[in-house]
Amino acid sequence: MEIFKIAFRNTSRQARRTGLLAGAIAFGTMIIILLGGFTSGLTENVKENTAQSMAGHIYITASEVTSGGLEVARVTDDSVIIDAIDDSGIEYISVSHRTNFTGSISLGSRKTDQEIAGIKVDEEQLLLDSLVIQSGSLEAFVNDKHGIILSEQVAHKIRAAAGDGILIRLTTQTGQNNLGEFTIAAILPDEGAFGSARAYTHLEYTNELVNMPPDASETINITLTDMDDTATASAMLIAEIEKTVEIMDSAEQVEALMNDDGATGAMIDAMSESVGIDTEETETNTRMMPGMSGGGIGGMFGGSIVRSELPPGTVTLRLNTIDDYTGSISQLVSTLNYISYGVFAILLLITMVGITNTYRMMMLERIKEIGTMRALGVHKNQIRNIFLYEAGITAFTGAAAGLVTSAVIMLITGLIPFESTGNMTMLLRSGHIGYTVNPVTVFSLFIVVVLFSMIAASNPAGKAAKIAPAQALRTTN
Amino acid sequence: MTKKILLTLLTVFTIGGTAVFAAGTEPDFVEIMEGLDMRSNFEDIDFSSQLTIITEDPEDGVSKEVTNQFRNDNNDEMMMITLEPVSQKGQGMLKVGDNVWMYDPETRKFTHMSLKENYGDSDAKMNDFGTSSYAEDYKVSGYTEGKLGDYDVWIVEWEAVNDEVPYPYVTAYIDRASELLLMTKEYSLSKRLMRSSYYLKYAQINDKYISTQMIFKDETMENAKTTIAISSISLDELDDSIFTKSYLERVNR
Repeated sequence: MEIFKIAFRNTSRQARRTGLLAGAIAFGTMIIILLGGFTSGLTENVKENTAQSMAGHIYITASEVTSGGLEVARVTDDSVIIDAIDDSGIEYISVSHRTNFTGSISLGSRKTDQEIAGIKVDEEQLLLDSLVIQSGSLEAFVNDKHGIILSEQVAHKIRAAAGDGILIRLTTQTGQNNLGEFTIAAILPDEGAFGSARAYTHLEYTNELVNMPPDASETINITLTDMDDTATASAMLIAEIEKTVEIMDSAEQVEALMNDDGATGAMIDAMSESVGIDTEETETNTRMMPGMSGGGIGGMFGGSIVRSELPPGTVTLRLNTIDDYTGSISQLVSTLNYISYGVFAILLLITMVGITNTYRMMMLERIKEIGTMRALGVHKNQIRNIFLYEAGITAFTGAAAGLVTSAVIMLITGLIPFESTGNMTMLLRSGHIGYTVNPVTVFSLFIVVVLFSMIAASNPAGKAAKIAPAQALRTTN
Repeated sequence: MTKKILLTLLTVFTIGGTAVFAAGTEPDFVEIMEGLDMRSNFEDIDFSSQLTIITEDPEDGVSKEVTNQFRNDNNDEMMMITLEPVSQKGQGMLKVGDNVWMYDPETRKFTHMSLKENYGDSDAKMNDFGTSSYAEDYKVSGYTEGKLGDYDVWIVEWEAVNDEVPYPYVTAYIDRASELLLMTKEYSLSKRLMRSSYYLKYAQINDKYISTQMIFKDETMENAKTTIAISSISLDELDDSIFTKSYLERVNR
């Protein structure tokens, strides 16, 4: 304990030098915490915003082959899926049915293309509660089968206001032209590119327009209690579905598979590999999720019509998770993390060299003091420990200062409101930068910094310990 | 009393006879539809022409496109290559069967499309340019007689027999004398009028007829229409290599 006190006191003997050393360590620590917090926050924000936009974390789609041999995206009989969700034991907040389409909205001589989600009001309370209404009302939407919620950008583009009647031109699942009549029930405030993708209609009327049975939907979306459980929950769900539906490999796909009741041909295509763990399989799996490139699930209708080789009536289930769609963001985040680790490693290396040189100099400066201490009976190990503790204390102080500084910076920058325009909205948390700091990472960082600083000081410390008392006392400098 | 019965019987027979006669003269619309298809499809001979497409859009204004069209109806192939405007020169559309690809010379990429989609920004559908198959795709659900301008026409209600045609319901105005299509009104699945197509002029080539001036009016949008004029019609034999992706790439080198 006495040795530790001496080491602690020594840190203030050359306050400026110690300050510089601690400052360098603080800077490195601050960079890594800031970058790590920023990238983690970024991933979380994108996932949360995507989950809100796409209504959930797990998305199940089914494609049916029509009597004409066209492959259309629709879940007509959801009983297998709903039963599997209930029996799988996954923890979820809600299950919602959606049908998405791309339509050309027109009012008078103005028009604009828009991706629209057909929703069931009673299943989307979370979404409806989260909407900020600029004009009109949610009540008007809920009570009107032909009601539509549009973003301010779209309404502005066609010069429409709440209460106006609009036409939406679209194509059915098999490519026939259709025209829907809607009344603007509510307008959402400008939320940039992300917001412009928001438009909601009633599922029942949407199905009528895309020529789909009233109870069918394009996707079944599951919002989990904890987004971090997405991969596990997907695996559990797949395992449960596998109990009732046989897995077929692609070679067998030409033979339709009948369910227990013999009514529906159903199969799961490569679902077991689709939990978003394996990148290659994820890419393969996402090929059938329509419209991602257009922003959000949807866009199947109005796009190219796929002719299937499979027999009519064949149903193919596919499962995607939010991780499939945030993969590119995760890659970006990983790259940023690697960069930050690289910067940190360089800073740590420079600091270590600085610590080694500083402690070598300190050893020379304190050589008489070391001799005196050794003559007074202080052991070699204790001499070495003084230097090591001193380096450890300096490193810990620096790391702590770095943590405090980064916390202050995060707090200040987190308070700055950013204009929600463009895809920036997707990266923000309610219009602000959102940081996510992992305590385990910070703790590990502290250990690494202290440990490496002590390693850097170990060589001069060892040399100081080996100095003979008589030789030290004879030294003139 | 006997006179009354005789008069009644005479009236009944007269009305019945007229009805039977009328039924006997009812036009065979299936035959007429097959005739429409037969006369506009060039199955045994190649066909090429130049299309001038003028699109009027209330927001984007007026745009003009000149395109070369090549058809090989026997193999259900069609190629269209844009000549004007200069900014779009070399853009192409290749149709082989049900497959349609658009080619952009700038990116040198092909995009797969559907026949039901509009051609560029125009109000014409891709399949307005190719072979017709009215008899195969529609059945007649009713008709009346009427006039369209100076022409005596049959106003025939067509209903799609499959769910793959762009317009499920069509009202066709067919000239009774020539049995040529003069106008169609095309309706959505919800039976809203979406487009009116006017076939203003026809050119006769042997026993075939091709509309050389057409107007497609978007009925969902005010003042939106596309006028197509066809000129430089030729029945010269075309090289099979024209109907390939590589041809599109080659002409852009």
